[in-house]
Amino acid sequence: MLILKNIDVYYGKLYTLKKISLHIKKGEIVALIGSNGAGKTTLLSTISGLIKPSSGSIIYEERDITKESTENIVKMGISQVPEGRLIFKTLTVEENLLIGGYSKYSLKKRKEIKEELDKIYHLFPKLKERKKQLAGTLSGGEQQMLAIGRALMSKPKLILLDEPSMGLAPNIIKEVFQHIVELKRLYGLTVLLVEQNARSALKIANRGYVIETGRIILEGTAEDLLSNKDVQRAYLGRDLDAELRI
Amino acid sequence: MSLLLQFLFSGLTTGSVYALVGIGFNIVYNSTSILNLAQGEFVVIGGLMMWFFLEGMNLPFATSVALTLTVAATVALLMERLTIKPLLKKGDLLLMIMVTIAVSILIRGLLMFKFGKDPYTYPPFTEGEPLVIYGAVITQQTLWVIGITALSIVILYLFFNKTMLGRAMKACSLDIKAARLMGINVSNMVMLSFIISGLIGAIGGIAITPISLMEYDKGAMLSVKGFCAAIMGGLGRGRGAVVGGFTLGILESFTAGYIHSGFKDAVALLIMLFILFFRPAGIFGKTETLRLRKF
Repeated sequence: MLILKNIDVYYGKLYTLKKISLHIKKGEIVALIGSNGAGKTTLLSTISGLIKPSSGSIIYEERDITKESTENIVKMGISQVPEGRLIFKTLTVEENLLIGGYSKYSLKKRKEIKEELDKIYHLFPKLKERKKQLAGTLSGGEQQMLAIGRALMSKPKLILLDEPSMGLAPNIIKEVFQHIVELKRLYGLTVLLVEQNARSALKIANRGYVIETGRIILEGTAEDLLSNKDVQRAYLGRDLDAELRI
Repeated sequence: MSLLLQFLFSGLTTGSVYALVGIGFNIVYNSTSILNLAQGEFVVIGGLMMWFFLEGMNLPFATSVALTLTVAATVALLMERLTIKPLLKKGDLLLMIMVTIAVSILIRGLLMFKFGKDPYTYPPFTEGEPLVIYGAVITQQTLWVIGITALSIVILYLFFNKTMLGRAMKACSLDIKAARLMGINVSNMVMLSFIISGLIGAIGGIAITPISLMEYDKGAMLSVKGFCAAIMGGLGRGRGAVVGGFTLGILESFTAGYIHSGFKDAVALLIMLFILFFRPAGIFGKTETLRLRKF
């Protein structure tokens, strides 16, 4: 569904993404794992068209979208939930969701947007309870649900999630990840999940990529990565040497 | 009593125009964080072009209004596409604000070239006896000015809160990255904000000219007053500019009436100084929002 071929990205003079190639098949959950500053967010920004790669190509559903504008990419069905959620804090919950449907909006389709809204309220009943509240007054977990709901309003086929667990309590993280699995099932979504929280991400993913200083250093099925010793040491917080000593 | 009321009404009239200019400031500020200091120029364009179509070319009233608004929108569009758009990527706010001053000087020059230095006016929208309330006289045009201002405010409120386009513009003002990820073309929204604020200015100009006359160089002072109205209410806050505009208009009119008409223009500057010294976020603004802004 999405193929990245040899993507090079410069951020000013900084060489941030080095010959990145990856692919995502329809219906998959793919996890992209890496530490701070590895280039995860840059990669998502590149797919969404916010940053243009200096070389390489991005193919989405057999179309080259490397040079497309962000608006067109959203219209084609790639929606991103950005890092830090970036909800519109001084607008109401409902307004946030409606703006999410902007790319699909036209006077004729007003009804569809309404239906989509009801669908999301059904999925996240808490958002419905608080639809008139300012988005900034929601709790962290609710804000994340709102950010996901807002991204769903554009009826995406592929959803890019940038660190959905950031700043959330462990039990809320669990809830968010359950929602992601459920969404995949309900909407038939394909998901690219970017996470520092490698264990939770790999648990729900089919496959994963490990990115380090702008390079993809490992790829494989989620089980393989979970049992890979390097991944365990670097991202799953398991000190193998200490374990061996015991 | 009648004198006080008289001052109040004339204050409301000029205040209406300040409010409209202030709202114009806010709309552009909200979508770009820049101050469009050519804002007052659009009021002048409104008044002078209206005279040109109505009196100069003897066109019917409605046609003249439509043509005047078209001219104002076109000027705003050109201004944004030619000067702001190329600079927006660099993001140098101060530079862009300077450019708006340059544009205002250019517009003023062109208007002087075409209209000379004489003041212009045309008959009020409706002929008829003025209203007398407790001895204070209100001309029908005054009612038009206040009515049109009120209507503009209502329409803008509905636009920003009930339409998708208005919401998208608000989204741009809050978070550009998030707005882009929603599929909103931010550049178009910036253009739209310039056009809307240009139109609002022109509407104010069309309405006020039969009362206060219009000449080519009125824009600079109107920009200052409108800016004062906007910061009084807290820059970026729509309701704030309305309250600020009317307050400023009334204070000016009282100063002119009770103290000396020579001090009239100083009021806005004094208020501005007080606000900047003591409440930089404005009367309704929040200090936190101010800190998060670059300007």
